[in-house]
Amino acid sequence: MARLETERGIMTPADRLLLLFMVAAALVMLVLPLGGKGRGGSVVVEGAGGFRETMSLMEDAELVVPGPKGETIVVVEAGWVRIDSSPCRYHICMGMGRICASGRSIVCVPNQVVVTVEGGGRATIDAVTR
Amino acid sequence: MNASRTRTVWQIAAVVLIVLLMVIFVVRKGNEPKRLTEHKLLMGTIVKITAFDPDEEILRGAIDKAFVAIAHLDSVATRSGPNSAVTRINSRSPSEEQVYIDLDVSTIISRSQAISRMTGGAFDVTVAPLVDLWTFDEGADLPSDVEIREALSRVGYEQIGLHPTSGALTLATDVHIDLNGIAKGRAVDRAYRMLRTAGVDAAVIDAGGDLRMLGLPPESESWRIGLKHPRQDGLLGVLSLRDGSVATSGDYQRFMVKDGVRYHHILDPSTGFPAVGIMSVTIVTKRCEDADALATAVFVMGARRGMRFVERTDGVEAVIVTGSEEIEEILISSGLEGRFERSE
Repeated sequence: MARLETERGIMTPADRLLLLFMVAAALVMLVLPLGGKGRGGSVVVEGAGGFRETMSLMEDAELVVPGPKGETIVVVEAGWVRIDSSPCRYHICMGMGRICASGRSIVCVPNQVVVTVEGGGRATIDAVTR
Repeated sequence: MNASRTRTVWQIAAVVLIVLLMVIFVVRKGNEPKRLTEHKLLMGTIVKITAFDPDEEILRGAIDKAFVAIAHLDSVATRSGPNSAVTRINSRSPSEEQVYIDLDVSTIISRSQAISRMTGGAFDVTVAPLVDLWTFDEGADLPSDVEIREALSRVGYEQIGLHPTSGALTLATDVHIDLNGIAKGRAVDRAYRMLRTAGVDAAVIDAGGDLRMLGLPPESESWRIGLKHPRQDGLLGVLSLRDGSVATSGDYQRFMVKDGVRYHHILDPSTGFPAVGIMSVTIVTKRCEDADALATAVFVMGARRGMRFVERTDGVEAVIVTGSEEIEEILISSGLEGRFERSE
């Protein structure tokens, strides 16, 4: 029967379904933004003298970062990253706590360490005043 | 129309639709704002610029220019360094009645003077002799009363005169200046202008927590700005802002504890001692140099007087956190009602 309808110049049900799907896809692409939002996927750790390491937020890890004051220890745990210990005087970087949102950073000025969460779309927080 | 011709028409329509889908995808992908973030160690802190624009070349060029502007201000407004106008001022000989300085620095001093007058001297760039007395190393001795009295005799913004056109600076003998309470904000403002002039769609400039926003972030109607909790890891809350600048002064930034008392770096120019009763002040205003200086001034004024000042000053809003070891109260100015969300 289906073949008979096709020969009469009428689209098959499959043709109609395909057309409907393509129109819907076009509308969705017009309306919805590209890319996702939410948590970051990786952590970039930058230090003195061009030190740069990238770690996944999905795997627990510890990184020792050398700096002019000594060693800063960066810890990734359960999807969050924090500075666990630092040779700086006031430990402001440790006081900044743990972060996970894309775009957020922890910085240690004296030991020149910058920890930034990247990937995963726009951050839930754009910046922090402190 | 016969059957085969009808099928051909439908096949062409399907191909056209697929091509159309691909074109839509490519055009949208091309117009999607790219995000670029760069950091540099400047102004004694990490300066972070995050900017959004579909054109990556514009982004890179604009961010580079913004960092050059900040680096220039860093070199002229720091208290040390060969090109520093502040060093030039503070090392002048007693016989020098006038000092001619960099235009950027004279502009900062001019604005500082205006803010000093607005705040009754709660913000004062001549606080340098007091700043030099206090070190916040754990176990350090406190300055003596004699030392503080001597330093206070050299503090007072009225002792600076700035010629409005020539930029010539006249200072009383022994008066030194410290622009750390305002120069970082000024540098953020300069970077903002560079990004705006370059045509960048949206950006946030962050100089150690002094922030200025340009435009709006993609797919959003506001910037979400976290406020650091003054005593714990993490955030006290989040401000939703459409534009402007934000700066915070807190007693947790540089401090020491001696005999159970916290001594921090925000000094009251009238007493010579750290201001008391407040943990942090966050100021929201248009220009970052104003936010930077007013955060210090309101901290020094104290919670009640500070909030009265904020409420009667156009274009200035504040979040004031009072207390010593535990938060006692969070005061929010009327213009921020509904825009501050306390963290759990």
